[in-house]
Amino acid sequence: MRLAAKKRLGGFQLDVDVEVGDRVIVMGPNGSGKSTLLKCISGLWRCGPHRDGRWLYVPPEPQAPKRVRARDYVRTLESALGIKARLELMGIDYLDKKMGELSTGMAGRLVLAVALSTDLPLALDEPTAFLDSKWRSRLVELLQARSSVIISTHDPELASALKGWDVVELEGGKVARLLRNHAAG
Amino acid sequence: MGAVLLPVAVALASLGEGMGPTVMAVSLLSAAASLLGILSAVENVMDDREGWIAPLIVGLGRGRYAALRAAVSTAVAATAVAPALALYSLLRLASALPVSAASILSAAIGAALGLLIGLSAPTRGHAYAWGVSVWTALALIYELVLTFLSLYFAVSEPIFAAALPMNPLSAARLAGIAWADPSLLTLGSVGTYLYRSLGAYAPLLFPATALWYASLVAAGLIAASGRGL
Repeated sequence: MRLAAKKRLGGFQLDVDVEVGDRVIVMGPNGSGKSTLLKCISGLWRCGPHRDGRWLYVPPEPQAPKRVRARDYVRTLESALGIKARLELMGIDYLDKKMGELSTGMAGRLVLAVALSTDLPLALDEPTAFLDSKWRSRLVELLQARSSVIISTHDPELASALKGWDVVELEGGKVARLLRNHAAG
Repeated sequence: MGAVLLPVAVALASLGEGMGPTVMAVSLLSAAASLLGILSAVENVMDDREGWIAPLIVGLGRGRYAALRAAVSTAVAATAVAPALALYSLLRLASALPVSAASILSAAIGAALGLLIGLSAPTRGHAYAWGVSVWTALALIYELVLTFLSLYFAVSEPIFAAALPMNPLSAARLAGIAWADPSLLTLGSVGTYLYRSLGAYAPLLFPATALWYASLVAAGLIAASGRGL
């Protein structure tokens, strides 16, 4: 697939146009444009070339209405996406808690479970940022079984665990390096 | 947020019955309701934008999301105003209709303005600042400026009359006032002046306000379709 996005944010210019496989890891230092690229690809931000993406963007630290119960939040998401969430994917057993009572990792698992329940292509922004090792391993297992996923990460462990994925390295908003079907290590 | 209006409603009801107190209630509750509508809609939209908005955009599309958000935010604003209006109506039944109609219309207009601001502002801080500024300009300053302009310059009656519905918050408030006081006597010399220029057309202020609401929601839909969320 073609990974293309142009976006100017103040003095920063994202300019990416590269052919990649359908499972991609985007790496790079802070401020290199990883999140911007994912938001452009998913159509959340208006970027060039124009794209009405059907990619589902998942933020690194999802904020949910704090007073809403997890069960009701999931119902809203299910209704918007037209799916039945498979919450067992990420071991969600805290639906009666309010979203404000959940740790960042618990909220992240809930959101990932909903995202992984869809057939949509996924744009996951730092998906392991708040997960413990057990759920990182589980996420890797689930991601290996999917197609059409773009992940941005700083996590070298995650990148090396996802064998056979293409790796795009960004620097200053541009592609610095492209590794196809990279192997572990 | 709506609880803040309860003591205001009691204070206004305690002013008594008749046109004067009713007009005062229409003016103050409409102004408060519009501010509440703006702030609650800004809060709703910014919660969406800072939360996980992607499923709503992917699942519903930008247009349907914005339309749904407009409907929900309007309902939230109207519901927030409802307890104060119920309390006022309980105490002053005779004035209930104009006060309630003007306040709910103002809350709806406020919600539509808040939607547009929330979808256009770059951050939550900007959104609240823009919301309060727009409310101050439309609810507090606009008519003052208009009045002073008419004192110092020869603003003709048709222009003055046309300028009032150009402000959505004035349109909603004046619709309620004209209902409670068809001759606009309670507004003094300005009322006489307004009655001469607006007179028989005053009932058109309600549809004019509804048109404002539709236009602001449409602007919100356009903002949602063209901007980064």
